[in-house]
Amino acid sequence: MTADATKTAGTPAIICENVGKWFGDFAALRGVSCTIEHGEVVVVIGPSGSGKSTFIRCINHLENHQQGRIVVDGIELTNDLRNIDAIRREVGMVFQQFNLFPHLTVLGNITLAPIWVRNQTRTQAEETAMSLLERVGIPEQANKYPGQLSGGQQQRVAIARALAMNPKIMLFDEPTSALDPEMIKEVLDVIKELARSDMTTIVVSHEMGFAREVADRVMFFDYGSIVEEGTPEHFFTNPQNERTKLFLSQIL
Amino acid sequence: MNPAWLRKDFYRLLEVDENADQAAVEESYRRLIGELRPETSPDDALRYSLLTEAYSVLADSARREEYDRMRAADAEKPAAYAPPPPQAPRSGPWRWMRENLFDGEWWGPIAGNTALTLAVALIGLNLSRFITSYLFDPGRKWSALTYNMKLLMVQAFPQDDMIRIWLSIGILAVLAVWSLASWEIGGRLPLTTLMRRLRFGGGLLAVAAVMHHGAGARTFGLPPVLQIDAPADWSSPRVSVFLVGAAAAVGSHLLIKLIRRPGAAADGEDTPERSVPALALPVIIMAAVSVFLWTARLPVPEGQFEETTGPIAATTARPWTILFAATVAAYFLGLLIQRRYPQPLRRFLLIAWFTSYPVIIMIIQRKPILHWMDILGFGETSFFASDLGTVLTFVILGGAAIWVLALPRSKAVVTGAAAGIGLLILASTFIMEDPPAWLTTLVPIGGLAIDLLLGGLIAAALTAGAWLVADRYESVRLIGSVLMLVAVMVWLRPMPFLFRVLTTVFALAVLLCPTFGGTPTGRRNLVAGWGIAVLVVVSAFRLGIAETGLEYQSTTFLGGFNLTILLAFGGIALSFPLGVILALGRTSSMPIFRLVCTGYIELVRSVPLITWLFFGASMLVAFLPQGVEFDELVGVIGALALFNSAYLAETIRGGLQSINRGQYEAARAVGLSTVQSTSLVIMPQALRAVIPALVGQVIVSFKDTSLVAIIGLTDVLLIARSIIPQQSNPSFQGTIAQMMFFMALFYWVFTFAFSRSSMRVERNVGLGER
Repeated sequence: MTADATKTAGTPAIICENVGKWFGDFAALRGVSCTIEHGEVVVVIGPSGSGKSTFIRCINHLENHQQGRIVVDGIELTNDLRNIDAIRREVGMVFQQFNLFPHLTVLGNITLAPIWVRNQTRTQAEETAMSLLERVGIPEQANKYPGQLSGGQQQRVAIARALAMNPKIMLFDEPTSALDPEMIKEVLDVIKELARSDMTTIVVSHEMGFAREVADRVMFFDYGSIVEEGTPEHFFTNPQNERTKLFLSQIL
Repeated sequence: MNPAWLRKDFYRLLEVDENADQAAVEESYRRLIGELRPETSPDDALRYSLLTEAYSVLADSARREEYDRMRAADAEKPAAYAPPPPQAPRSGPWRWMRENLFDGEWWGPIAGNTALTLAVALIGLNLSRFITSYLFDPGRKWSALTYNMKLLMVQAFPQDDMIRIWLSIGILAVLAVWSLASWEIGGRLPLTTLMRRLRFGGGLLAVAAVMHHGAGARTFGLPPVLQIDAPADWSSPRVSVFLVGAAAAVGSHLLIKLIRRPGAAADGEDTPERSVPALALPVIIMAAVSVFLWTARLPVPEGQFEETTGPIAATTARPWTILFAATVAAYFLGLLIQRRYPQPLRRFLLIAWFTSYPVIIMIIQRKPILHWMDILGFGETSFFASDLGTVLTFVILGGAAIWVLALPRSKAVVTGAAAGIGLLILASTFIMEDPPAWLTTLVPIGGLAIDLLLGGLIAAALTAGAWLVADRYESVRLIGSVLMLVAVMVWLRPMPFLFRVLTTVFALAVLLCPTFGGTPTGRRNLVAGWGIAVLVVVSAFRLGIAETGLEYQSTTFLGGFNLTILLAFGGIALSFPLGVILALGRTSSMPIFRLVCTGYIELVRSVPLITWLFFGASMLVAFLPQGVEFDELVGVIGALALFNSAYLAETIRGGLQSINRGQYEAARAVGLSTVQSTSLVIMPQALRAVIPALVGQVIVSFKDTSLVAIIGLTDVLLIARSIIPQQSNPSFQGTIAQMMFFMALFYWVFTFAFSRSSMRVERNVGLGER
């Protein structure tokens, strides 16, 4: 662990240089460049189809970029499977549709990867899982199946599942978009708590209040590139770009 | 206006009725607050404020009018809680029958259900009359049943070796009952239900006793459809057997009633109903029958059994009674151990089921004289060439290597294991046959020398590879890859066929180590899987391959039910892993893998099963290396497995397609490798999704085994269809119609059991789908 720390101490958590990605003819990302420091909380906003989800899915290589380079935690993402596996162990991801494993209990969902990837014993993994469930506020649901939980609870389990691998970076892909309004708050509270705990966090979200509250930096995506970025105060009160202004006027 | 008013009934508070005038309200208010002491009592203070509020509303005519209007509107609103409509009284059997069976109008133009019920009842009555009069016909020769059953079970298995058949059936029966007991299949039976069943069973037995045919049925001059059977011939000994059974049922009913009484009377309806495991009833009946057969001495009717003075069990029924006793013992043992050690027991049973198949094949198929010394390694062959020696050597050495490599603790350990494997390969070159000619001409040194050179190279490569690769898991993968190369080389060299297969399996197992061996459980499973694989491979080869030099019994030795079961279970069990691999291959992104699997599936499905059976039975030999001969039976099991796997693969592919892509992404995102994602996340869900279709496929495969009759194997259906009806020996009996009826029943029992167990499995695993 200390060796890792010294290796990555000076380097940023994520470096993207001129990243491009196409789906057929459709250009999803056009030359995205950015640097995200350790412990930084970045909220990515933008209209639908603007490439924000594709961007964070590229960071743990669920999509492979076709142009430019991405360096995560000092390791460059290539098609080398070992690099990808190493990065996925350090990068947790939470999906819009939760994607919990329906055939496993909540506890089974959380302990699966620690047992099989980190080679923890079952008791050790379950202890960690229970403390994570305490942290997201649903320890009493440990032995239920995902289908028996509400959307908000499922998303909190998904967060606990990602945290169980003890990642250095957390990616949230529209974590509240599939939730009923009254459940959004409980999930956002968990993410806020995480963001304060010095974890490098990237959130794709449509929740402007949340972005304003927790973000160190807000990135605005449109047509596959970063149109504008800055601190929340700057971004929400004094946007420079016309497209940003238009988007904010539609959404606020 | 204030909505809170509605929750308070001001008129009742002020103790006036709704038509009271202002003066009456005022008077009542004065009187009521005059009684209160709000300064001293908090209750009075509350009541004071309530009364004041009520007075302020009712005393003001405008507010009173508004309050009245609101009350009137509120009264019209339906209450949130309304009593449900009165339930019909609990339906008894008579009521149920009237509502469900006889609800048509008697006199109506169409008599509805009533007509249907009467028609079915008439048919049922006549059917039962037919069956009973058939079964109880004094001319029936029950002794033929014994001969027929033996023929159906094992065809011409030598009489002296019947103990093997009994041993096999015994193993299966004990395992089955043990599993049923420890999985608590059938759940628990409430005592009331048990009593109802006892009443019903006893009644049925009593009816059977009465229906028992006398010398001649009396017709009462009625047309045949309406005839009622003649009263029983009370002198027949079978009547007394039925009556004893009926009495036993009624007796145990009374006994349970007696035992149950105190608890039920003391606590009334609230006590949880007492229950017994549902399986206990058939097991107890089995035990009772066994005891009855050992003790009862019935006058044997002439010509039915050989005259004997001993108990029935001393004749042909002896193996059955022992079997019954063994299953009863297994049941109670299962219950007992299940309470103490549920988990280890279930694991043991699972392993026992998997090993029982090769063990039974060994027991049944071996040449009639069992050379125990050869099996145990003290006979003429060397110990390592014996069954036990081979199994022990491979299980112990291979198991140890897998155990070490599954969780590589340090680089030194991995390197040591690699060096050990290398040394074993080097050592094995001494006991191998001469190298092929092309190799000796290519490298002009002696046979042993080149073997040593090759072995040494491999050993050095293994050790150096293990030492040089930094990641310990990667170095295990490297060892596995080198072993895979060795396995390929082994197939190119002349050496015992068994050794080639075991080397390949070992290389595969080592390749699986880093992926699945990470946990202690995973390690145990890997080593256990290796042990089972060795046992299965060795026994399969002892059974099927002439090259091993051991004598085995040819297929003609075996027939009937035993053959059917061997074919069905072998074909189905082997086709499952293959089907999973094919399904994954067809959906894979690897083009060659996908092409091969798709081609295989399309080829196999496009040719009828019978063609493949012919291929497996007679043409397979042409495709095998010289000196390797499979028994016809092995070829047929292989053909069935390969054929079924193509269909299973398509079913499983359907399941795979039903899995959301997000599942795979989530599995990859938490860091699982591709193999782990597939086997831990995707496959379990895909298989669950297609359980009904899989069970349908299993049932079809089971019935398809009857096609082997065409290639000359005497399965149970062939015996029933042609062998038994053709017998001229008066000991045999049975027309083709009777035999076919029996076979329908036979197949139905098995397929019904399959479908019931699949429903159970669905219920058990369906929880996650909610």
